[in-house]
Amino acid sequence: MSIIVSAIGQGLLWGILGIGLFLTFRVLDFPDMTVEGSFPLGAAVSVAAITHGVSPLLSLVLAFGAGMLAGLATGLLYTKGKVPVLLAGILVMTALYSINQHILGRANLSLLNQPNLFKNKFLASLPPYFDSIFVGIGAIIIIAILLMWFLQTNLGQAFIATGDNEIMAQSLGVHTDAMKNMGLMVANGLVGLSGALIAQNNGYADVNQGIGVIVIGLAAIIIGEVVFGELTLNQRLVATALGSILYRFVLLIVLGLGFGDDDLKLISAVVLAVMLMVPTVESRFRLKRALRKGIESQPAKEADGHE
Amino acid sequence: MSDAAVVLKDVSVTVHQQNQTKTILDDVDLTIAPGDFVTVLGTNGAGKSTLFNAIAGNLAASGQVTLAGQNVTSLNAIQRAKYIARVFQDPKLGTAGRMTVAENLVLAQHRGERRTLRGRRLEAARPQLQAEAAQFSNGLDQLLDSPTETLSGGQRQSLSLLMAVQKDPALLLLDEHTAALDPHTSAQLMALTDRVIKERHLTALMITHRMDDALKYGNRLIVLENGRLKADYNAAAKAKLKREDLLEFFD
Repeated sequence: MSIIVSAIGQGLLWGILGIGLFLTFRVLDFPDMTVEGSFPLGAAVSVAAITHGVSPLLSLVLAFGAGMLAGLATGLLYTKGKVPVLLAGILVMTALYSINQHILGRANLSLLNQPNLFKNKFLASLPPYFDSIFVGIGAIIIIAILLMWFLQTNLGQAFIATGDNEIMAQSLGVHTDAMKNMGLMVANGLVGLSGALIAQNNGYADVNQGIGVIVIGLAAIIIGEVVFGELTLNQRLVATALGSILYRFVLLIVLGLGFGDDDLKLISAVVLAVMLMVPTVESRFRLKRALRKGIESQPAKEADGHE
Repeated sequence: MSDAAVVLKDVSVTVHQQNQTKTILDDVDLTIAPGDFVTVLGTNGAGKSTLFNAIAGNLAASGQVTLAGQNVTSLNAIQRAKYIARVFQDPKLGTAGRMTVAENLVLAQHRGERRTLRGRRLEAARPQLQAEAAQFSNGLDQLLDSPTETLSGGQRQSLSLLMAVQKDPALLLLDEHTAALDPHTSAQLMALTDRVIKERHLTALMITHRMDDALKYGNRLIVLENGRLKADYNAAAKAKLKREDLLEFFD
C-alpha cells in the first residue's frame, strides 16, 4: 500500500516537470533539452539556498527563478542567435552541469539536519508519503489554475498561436520570438520547481539528478494523451499530471518483475518508446480491421449487383 | 499625395545567387488611393509575390513604403501587421489549425496590438462572430468551436478573409487566395471578397492568375513583368479591357 502512496506522491511532484515540458513540447511544438539542466539546477539552488539559511519555501521561488534564467538562455540562443532549438537546449544543459556543481560546491549536497519543506509540522504529522501527495496536489492545483487562466488571456492565446502557426501569428503582429522566450522561461521555471521539490523530498541534491528527466516528462505527457485521448488544452494539463502518476505505476510494475534500480533509465526509455508507438500500432490495427470489413462486405455487394 | 493609402517609391528587391545579382523587383513606383481594389496580374516570376513581401516587410527591399500616411520602411513584418492584413494562397497558412474558429477570430481582433494578460472575452464576442461567419453561408457559423484543421479549404479561406478584415486594415493583401479552391468555391469566395471590400471601404491588392477575376473585380488593374510595372489601367480603362488585350502579356 505504502508503495502505491509513494508512487502517487512522486508522480505528482514529477508531474510539475511534465506540465512544464508540455508548454514547450506540445504548445510551442519543439523538444527542449534544457530541462535536463534546469531540473538539477532547481534542485541545486533550492538545497544550496536552504543550507545558507534561506527558508525552504523561499528556496522554491529561487529555484523557479533559476529555471527561468536557464530557459531564457536557451531562448536567446534560439531566437536571437538562430541556433537550432535542440542544439541550444543541449548547450545550456551542458553548461548547467558545471554551474550546478559550483552551486552545490560538490557533486552531492545533503539536507541532513537542515530545514526542509517536508519537515514542516503539519506535513510531518501526515502518514508516511502523504506529505508528498499533499504538496504535489497543492502545487499542481495552483500551477494548473494559473496556467489555465493565462492560456485564456490575449497573451496566452498569442503564445498558443505561435506554436500552432508561426507565420500566421507573425502576420497578426504577434512577436513570436518573445512568445518562445516566455514559454521557455515559464516551462523551465516549472521544471526547476519540480527539481527543487524532489530534492527536498529526497533530502539531497545531486548534479547527476537531471540525466534522463526529459524522458520522464515526455512519458507523463504521452501516457496522458494515450490514456485519456482527445481533450481540451486545459484538460491536457491535468492529464499530464495524471500521466506522470501512471508512469510511476508502470515503473512499480516493471520493478516488481525483478528489474533493479540500475535498469531504471533503460525502462524509462522503453516505456516512452512503447507509448510513442501506440498511435502507429493502433492505426495499423484499425486499418487491418477496416480491410477485413471491406473484404467481408464485398461478396455481399457483388451478390446485390447480380440480382 | 499624403492621403494615399499606399505609396511605394523606388522599391527594388535584389537577390544574390552564386555570384550573380538578380533583380526581382525593379524600381517600382505605385500609389494606391483609399478604397481602391487593385488586381495584380503577371506571369510566374514577374515579381507579384515579391511585391507583396516587400510591402508586408517579409524581405529586405530598397526604396520607401508608406501606408496610411505612415512611413513604414524601417518596420519589420510583425510591426507592419498593424496596417496590413494578408490572406495567403495556402489555406493552412492563414489560420492556427489546432485553435478553434472563434479563437482564431478573436486572435485577429487584436492584430498589431500589444498582447496583454486581459481575458480574451470569447463569449462576449460570440454573437458578433457568429453573425459575421454566417454571411459566408458555408456553415462556418456552425463551426465556431471546431479546430480549424477540421475545416474544408473553402471554409478556411473564408475564415482567413474574415480574420483579415476584423480590424479594417489600411491595406488588404490577397495573395491568390482562391487559387487552391475548386471553381465553384473560388467564385463564391471571390464574390464575398468583393462585397466585404466594398462594404468596409477597404484598400486591397489582389494577385490572381484567373484573368476573368482580374477583369471582373476591382477598379484598377496592374500588370507586372520582369519586376517592373508593365501596365496600369484605371477604372475607366479597365472597364474597356478584354481578355484578349491581356493575353499579349502572357505569350
